[in-house]
Amino acid sequence: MDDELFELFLEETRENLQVMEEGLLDLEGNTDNIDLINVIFRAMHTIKGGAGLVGMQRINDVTHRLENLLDGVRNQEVSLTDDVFKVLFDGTDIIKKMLDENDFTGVQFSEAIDTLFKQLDYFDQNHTTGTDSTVINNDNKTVNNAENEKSKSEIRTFKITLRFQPTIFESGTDPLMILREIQEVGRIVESYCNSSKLPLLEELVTHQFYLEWTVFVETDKNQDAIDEIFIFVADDNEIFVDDVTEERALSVEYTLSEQKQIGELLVDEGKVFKQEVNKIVNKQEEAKNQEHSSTIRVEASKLEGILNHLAELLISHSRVKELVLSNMNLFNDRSGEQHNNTINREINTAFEEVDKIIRIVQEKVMNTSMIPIGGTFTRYQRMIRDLARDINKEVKIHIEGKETELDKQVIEQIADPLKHLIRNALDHGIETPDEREAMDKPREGTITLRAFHQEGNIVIQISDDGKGIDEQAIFAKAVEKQIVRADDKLSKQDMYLLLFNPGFSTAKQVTDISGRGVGLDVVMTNIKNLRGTVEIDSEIGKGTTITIKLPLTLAIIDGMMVRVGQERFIIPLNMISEFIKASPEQVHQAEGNGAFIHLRGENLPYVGLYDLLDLDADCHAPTEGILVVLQHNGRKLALMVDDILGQQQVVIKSLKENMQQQIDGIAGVTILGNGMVAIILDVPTIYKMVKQPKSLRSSAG
Amino acid sequence: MSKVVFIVDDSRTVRASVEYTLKKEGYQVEQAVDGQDGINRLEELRQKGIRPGMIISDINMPNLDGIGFIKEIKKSLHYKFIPVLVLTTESQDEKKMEGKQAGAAGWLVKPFSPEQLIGVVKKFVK
Repeated sequence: MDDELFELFLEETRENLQVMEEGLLDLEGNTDNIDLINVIFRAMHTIKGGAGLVGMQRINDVTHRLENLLDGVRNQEVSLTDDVFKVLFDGTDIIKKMLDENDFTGVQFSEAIDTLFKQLDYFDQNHTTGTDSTVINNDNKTVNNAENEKSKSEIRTFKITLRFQPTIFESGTDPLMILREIQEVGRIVESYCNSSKLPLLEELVTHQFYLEWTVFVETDKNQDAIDEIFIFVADDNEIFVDDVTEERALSVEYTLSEQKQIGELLVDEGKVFKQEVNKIVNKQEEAKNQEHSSTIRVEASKLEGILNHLAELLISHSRVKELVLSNMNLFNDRSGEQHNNTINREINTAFEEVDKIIRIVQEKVMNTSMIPIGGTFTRYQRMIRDLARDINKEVKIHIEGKETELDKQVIEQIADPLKHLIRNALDHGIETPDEREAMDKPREGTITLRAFHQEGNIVIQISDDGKGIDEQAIFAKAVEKQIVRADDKLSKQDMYLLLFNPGFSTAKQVTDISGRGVGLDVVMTNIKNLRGTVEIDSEIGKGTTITIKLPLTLAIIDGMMVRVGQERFIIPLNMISEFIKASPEQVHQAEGNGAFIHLRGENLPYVGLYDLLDLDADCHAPTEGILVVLQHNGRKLALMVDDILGQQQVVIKSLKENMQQQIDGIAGVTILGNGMVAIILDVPTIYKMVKQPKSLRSSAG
Repeated sequence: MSKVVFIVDDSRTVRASVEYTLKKEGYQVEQAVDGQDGINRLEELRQKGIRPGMIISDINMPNLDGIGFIKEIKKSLHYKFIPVLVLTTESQDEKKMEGKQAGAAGWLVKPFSPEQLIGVVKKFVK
């Protein structure tokens, strides 16, 4: 292309030289013709521009000097004397000859060029436009480069204030582009948007700009490089770039020694807006909350003791409540007197009050044992960094939701499973830097640790942007290991979950990190013990996200009490989406003995709890009892019970202490107010049981 | 965002070099030979549903010069918000200012290197 461009330049220049020559000849007879002067000037100008582009410095120099002279003529600073014409013709000839002889550096014509320049010098002295700015520019560049070299390794902080004109869009400039450019020049430490000038929606002019930005950027570039960003906008807009490296360091030290609020200080000095300060203060509070706030150290066992007693209190309370209420009803039945209603109401109000207080105390006590997950995440961060170095992978850790609080006990019990999953992500998920590069991914992989609250659960996610999981490969392996049969029909999710089967490992080689013989099945058991669930989401080549859902606390849950025959069951409230009474039209028979319920365009699998747990029940057909619509991991299930008895907070007593193994479908038991025992259903395993044939089910139970 | 760049310059060399440089960067380049042609070509592109992401215009051109061209397109709502970059020689501050007053978003000094051109275009079209 360079050759092509060059040819194009030669061709165009010859044409323009001809234009100049003809123009000059015409001009000789018609020296007032300003149009002619313009035509000549443009031709010269075009040659100069082209020469610059194709790198012909000599031609560029000559045309530049000639253009200056012509500019003088154009501005009527130089009159068109014969001398002027001679110089212009001479210059044109020289360029023409250089082209004809293919002597673009003008070696053969250096004498002629020198003479020409001397003559031009004479005219330049007579008007002012003759300064050769090219030379000055070059000098500037050299100076700048030297400065760049000098300050390269030094990191400086710049405070950039951007106050654009409301009409900025009309020039075609997009402020967002400028913000992006700032981002490219260094690391943005802080940025604030002042939207106080933003009018009400009805007064907003869509093509006007109302926002002001303050950006603090850390960079190893010098101020010139920062100014360069605003080269086109600096004139018409209020752009301030201040080097605040020293000030920032100083102001922190100063305020620390003075024990003054840094925010107030900055506001006083007019350096920041009040709202900016508030924003920072909030951030700091957040950060403070993340720290182990260890004002009083209490032994964990003491806290556990309080929680246990509180649980007992809850049970006793509901027992008293039930006794009082039934006694009251008995009394009412006997006397039936009107005034008792007032007492009834007062007793009820009193119970409500006690209920409320117990709830508050429970919340407070539970809160004392809640700690932010940030500390645990940070430890993993370190672990990942060290491990990645050992196995020559490049990994960046991204943490979200540090401040999310979890029961300390839960954190302790989830720590090991998490560690295992993170190691897996690093070992099996993230590819080597070379592999990643080959796939057009950044060399550095990312592992994201995320924690947040969702519907009364704590969600912890471990994401990597690695190679993803091939669920078919897992399935094949599981078939090979006789965990499943080849003709089993499994959903993608179920295939992923095969990974958590005992003794399952698809890793081709055992590494130090995740091949220690402890399988993912241990992880699953640990999570299940916490009444948690695991979900995997993966895309080949893109990465994997493992989502762990845990209950907020271990001990107390909000439940819905239901009845089947003489038995009472508690279903965790957060798993229930609604209750329905099915009409015969809603019930559809599926293959075999199964049925499903049609509900607002959805078909829900149906199962009777009596059938699942082999109980004597009042209701046997789907239309007879009440259907509890369960929701878990986005899937719904209609579970039939005889009756619904009401909402209740229950304290979970683990069955594990008394039994050898966890029983499918049952999360634990609780003691009711009347002293009876109710079973707490484990919804996730109920889903699993529904899918299994009945014969298998009873043997598992 | 449109990746089309519209170059208005009476020099074939300049147009070709702009096209060559920007095409390599993945831009589509449309051309016009002077201000008047620029207005006509813009209208043609508009009929085809093509809106340039930016316009690069020379100042010194026959028929309608760069300043006139910018003033003209800034009158039209269709083109008003398209950033215009003027090409000037050396650092002619008056030309820059003239361009800015007409509504140009920026300028590029001739001769420019491919890197300079790309750098400036990227300021406006990404």
